[in-house]
Amino acid sequence: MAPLLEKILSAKEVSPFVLIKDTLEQSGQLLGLELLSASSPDHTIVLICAESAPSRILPLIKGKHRHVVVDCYSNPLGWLEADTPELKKGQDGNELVTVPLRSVRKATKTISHAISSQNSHFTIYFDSLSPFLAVSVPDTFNLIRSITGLLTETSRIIALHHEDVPDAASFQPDGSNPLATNSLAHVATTLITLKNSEAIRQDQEDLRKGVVAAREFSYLTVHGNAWDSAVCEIEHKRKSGKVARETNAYHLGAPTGDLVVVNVWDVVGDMPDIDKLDLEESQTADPAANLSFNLNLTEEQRRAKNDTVLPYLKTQETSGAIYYEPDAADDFDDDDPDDDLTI
Amino acid sequence: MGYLSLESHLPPSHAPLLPPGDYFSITDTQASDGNFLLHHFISNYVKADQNVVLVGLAGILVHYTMVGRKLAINLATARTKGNFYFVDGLTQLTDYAAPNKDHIARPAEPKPLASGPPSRTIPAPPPPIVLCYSPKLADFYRVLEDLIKNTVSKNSKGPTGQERQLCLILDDLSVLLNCGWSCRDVLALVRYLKLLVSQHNGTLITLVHADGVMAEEPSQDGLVKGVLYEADYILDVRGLDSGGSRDVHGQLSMLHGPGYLLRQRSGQVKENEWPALTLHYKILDNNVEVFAKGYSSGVL
Amino acid sequence: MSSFKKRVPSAQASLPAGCRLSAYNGQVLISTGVPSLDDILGGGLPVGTILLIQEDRQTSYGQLLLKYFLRQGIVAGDKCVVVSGDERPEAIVRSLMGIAGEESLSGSVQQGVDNRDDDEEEKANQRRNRAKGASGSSSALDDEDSEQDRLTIAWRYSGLKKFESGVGTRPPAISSRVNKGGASNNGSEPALTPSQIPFCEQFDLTTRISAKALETADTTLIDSGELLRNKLSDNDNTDDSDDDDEDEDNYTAQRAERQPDQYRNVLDKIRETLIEGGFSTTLVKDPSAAPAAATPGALAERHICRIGINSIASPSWRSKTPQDLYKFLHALRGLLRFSFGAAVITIPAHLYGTIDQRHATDGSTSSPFIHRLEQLCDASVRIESFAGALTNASSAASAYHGLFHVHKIPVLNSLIPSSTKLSVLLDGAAKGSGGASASSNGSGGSSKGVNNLGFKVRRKRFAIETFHLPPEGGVGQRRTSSEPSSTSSSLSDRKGASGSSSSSSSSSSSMAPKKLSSGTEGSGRSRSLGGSGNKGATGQVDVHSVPGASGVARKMMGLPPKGIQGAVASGCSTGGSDGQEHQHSHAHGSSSSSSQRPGVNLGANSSLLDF
Repeated sequence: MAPLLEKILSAKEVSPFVLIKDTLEQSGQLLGLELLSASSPDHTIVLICAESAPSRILPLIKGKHRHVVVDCYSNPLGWLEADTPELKKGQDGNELVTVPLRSVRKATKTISHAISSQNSHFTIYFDSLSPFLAVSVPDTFNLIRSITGLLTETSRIIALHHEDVPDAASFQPDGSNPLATNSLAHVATTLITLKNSEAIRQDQEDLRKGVVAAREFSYLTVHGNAWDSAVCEIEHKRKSGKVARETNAYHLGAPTGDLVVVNVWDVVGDMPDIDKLDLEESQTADPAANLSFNLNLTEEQRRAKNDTVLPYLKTQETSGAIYYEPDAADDFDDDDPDDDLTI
Repeated sequence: MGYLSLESHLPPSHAPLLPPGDYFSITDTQASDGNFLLHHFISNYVKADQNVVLVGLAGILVHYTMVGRKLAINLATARTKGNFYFVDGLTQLTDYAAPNKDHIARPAEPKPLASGPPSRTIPAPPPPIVLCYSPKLADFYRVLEDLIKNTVSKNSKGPTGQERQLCLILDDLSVLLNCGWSCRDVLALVRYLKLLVSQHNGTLITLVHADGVMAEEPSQDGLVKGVLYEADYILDVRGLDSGGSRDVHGQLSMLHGPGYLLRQRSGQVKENEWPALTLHYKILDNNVEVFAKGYSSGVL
Repeated sequence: MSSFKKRVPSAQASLPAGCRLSAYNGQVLISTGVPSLDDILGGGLPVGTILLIQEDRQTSYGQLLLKYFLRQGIVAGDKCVVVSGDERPEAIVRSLMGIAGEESLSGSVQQGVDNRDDDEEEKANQRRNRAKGASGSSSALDDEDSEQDRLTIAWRYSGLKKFESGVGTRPPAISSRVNKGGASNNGSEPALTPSQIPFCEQFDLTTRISAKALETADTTLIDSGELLRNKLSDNDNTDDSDDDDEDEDNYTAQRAERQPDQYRNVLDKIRETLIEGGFSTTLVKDPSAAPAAATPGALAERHICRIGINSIASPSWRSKTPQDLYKFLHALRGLLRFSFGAAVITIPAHLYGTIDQRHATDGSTSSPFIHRLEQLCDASVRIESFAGALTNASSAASAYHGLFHVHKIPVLNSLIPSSTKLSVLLDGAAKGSGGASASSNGSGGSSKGVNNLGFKVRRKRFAIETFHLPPEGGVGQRRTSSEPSSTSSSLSDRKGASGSSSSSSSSSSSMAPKKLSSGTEGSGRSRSLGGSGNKGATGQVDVHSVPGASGVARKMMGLPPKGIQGAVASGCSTGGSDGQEHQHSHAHGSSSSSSQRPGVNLGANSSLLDF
């Protein structure tokens, strides 16, 4: 059976909203762009850049799609003279609009406008939702909702979200507001969580040894963002209501090479999660193994053994009773055993 | 030249300079100040007759000049020549600091006492630009934009006509956060400056404090993470895991951030051009030794 | 800036009074009044910088350091700006200590003060007389000397309001340009010619500053809690020690009535003072006039402006926005960098964030707030006295009154802090004392020395020294037993208690395992003290001293780095939550038992652990 990740990549599994959750330690951008490149050629790609320059992202999208670029990157707070929020044709046939991110509402308007003016199927790509969430969490959800409303059946939203970056709500923690990370996971149909393979390898090493090595705090380690592989935990909600969970990984032969979906153990080695470990232990603890004599029975022996009539077998068929008559030799003790108690 | 032993661990494409258009982020901790890295870049650029704009949010010009001497560069000359620009972000950055303009001594340029008492006069280079308080961080950007677009660009051609590279350094981003600007504003400033210098064949270098204690504060945490997401190259300076030592002052890590991953993917950087690794360093009087873990001269 | 010069004689001659130049990078330094603190900072506090002192909860040693700083300023004829919210600045100034040698003004030398302290004073006076006119001698820190002079009891009875314990001046470790002044100039310091003003005077904590000195002192007092004070009338005249905590509630209650924008007000006043006094090099009162400091000769008459801020950010300070204090410090730093001034600020750091005992010992300030303040200052130290430690921690380390953590030292105009080169305490002396141990201030990096520091307060001296275990057998009754087996320190008993088989365990039946109320239950099982008839009593002491020591053991050990802890722990089979504690005590114990010689230094222990 093909890994779930591959099915999602090849759009065999329908998923209107793929959310990729990543951290500083392992960016999900590569996977996101691979998903984006895999979208069907008749789709128009709406690229919403808030974190990376469009010029960085565009070359990484394979395929001959039409691109509409919403640039929230180059003028985040509107410090530069703003262009009119109109789509402009670039030389390469792409359409481009620059939107400041000062207000998500305004960006929502522009983005919706950019989408609704087209007559096509779309794949919409957020290179990161985190800058939006840093402005306003509810407004970001509005944005997602209004985009979803504009989309046709086959369209797809792919969004990245850095779960480690504080959003606007985390500056004033308030228990009555939903957490952005959880809410995003709630609306997404597929949730892919990226993990650094080296970190997982280390975790397993710890697990095997039973000792957790103390690690100094750091935002990013030397192993962070390895280009060659990453582990993806996938949670996919099917339309039927079934939920599929799988842990896959991807592997690259070269930094610019093709992305291959592999089983997770190909990347991190065996994956003894803790339940399995316990299971293994109980299985391996077979006392009859490796003995110099034989404790096992052949089928014939077993049958013979089972057929043996044992003396107590008969009494089991009726209920038993014990009859006892004391005789003279019995040492009868007529002291009240409880006389020291005031009963 | 800066620190020779460090040189081989920096991106080689434009050595001894940094690749233009890129953003270098330095993170450090209180136990191990990352300031020494800035001196390396300053001296490399000045030595190579390129342009440097240094925004001193924590350090003063004298400090950089004095250390420059130890590294055998003369920042005063560089200032007169128009290669080196210092922007004072310390004395008048906040509303607290903005003094009554009447009190500013007009004729004399600042003579910080820390340099030792001045006693002879040399034709003075132009006075440093001062970042004066403004509630909007955008105004600081305008000051720097104006400086780079209008002043530095006049000096952007070298004697042989080749285009000079530019290096813009902010010596402490955390100060901006401390002085009341929001994490978003500071990150936006970084973004704008990054875009600005890339138009002028320049590289942006910032330093930000990334202590574990501070990660509890959302604004501080957000700033560091934001910077790391933005950065093309990350240099991390921190104390040794095992505590202090006489022969090793700390560890210096070259880290691959999300930005680097993308660049690798697009083939802009070769696979082993700038490997992620951790080194140790020792700061000397006029040099910094960078060496592989366990190769300290005190051990060998 | 073109005006940099190498140090030349003429430049030295033009130094302001009571200053000297750093031997490393030519910075102008002023003394904090405490020679050992000067040493840590690299010879003195560089002019133009801010030193942050984190007070501890129980004592006012932080304020004592501040007083030293101010008092030294008065000696040097410097301008002293005193800012305080909790106490009146006048009270602080009035309660400053006197100069050693100008005896008997208040004359109240307490009973119980060790006579040797006076002897030492004699000695010091002789030394001073000898040194008169010559450049300060550079004798090394005489630790042996101080070991003998240790006061073990007096300070506890002193109620912390006066400091009877001796504090003496050590000759500065690096050569001082400025000659020692006459010791018997009763309160008439300003009359000295600048070259006679000592870089660091010797003070006597039992005396008060003379009225004459107060008169001539050039002080500016800023009461940051002024409005509040008016409401609360008095109650605090001389009580300059422990009131932070007591008065907290009052302050909080009255908070709303205090003036807004307190930090800005204070800063404005400081700036005004700097400008008025002509201390600033960039800001002048009358810009049209020629800059005053132009001629080198004028510098000799110039003084430094010392700014002392007592308990900043205590509850009597109120900030309008969360950034007030950050901005204050940033602006102050910007102001001082271009002024003939330096600031010492104490802060009740314990008010911010709970400093968990366990974590506090690794030296990290647990509060991000304090951490950010440290970023904005040039130097930062933290005082952790034993007075408030659990149980009788002090018994194990009675040689010291507390630990002294150095978090940050000034790095100005050079790549490395000058104290890395010059400081005896942070670095140099460590060579003799057993190599690099993990410094207790956490991940002590480039700026940090490798020594653990402790401080002692004596009558004439606030001394910071490298922290080491007291000599074996020399610490009091718990080691009086004569059997060699029992002199193996009580701490090694803990080894047995914590699981590993103690080889020589003739575990006496008389000392049944004892639960201790101090939170180290289960680990305080006292091993036998042999057949000594007195064993019950000695044993008891033993038991009690263990938890105390264990509380301190970690501190003394300077908390070996994590990787190393494992190595230490490998021998003992402890588990569970307080395993860490065991490990330390184990390390402690094993070292003290293995090396049975006096003066076992923790540095030596830790050098074992260093890999």
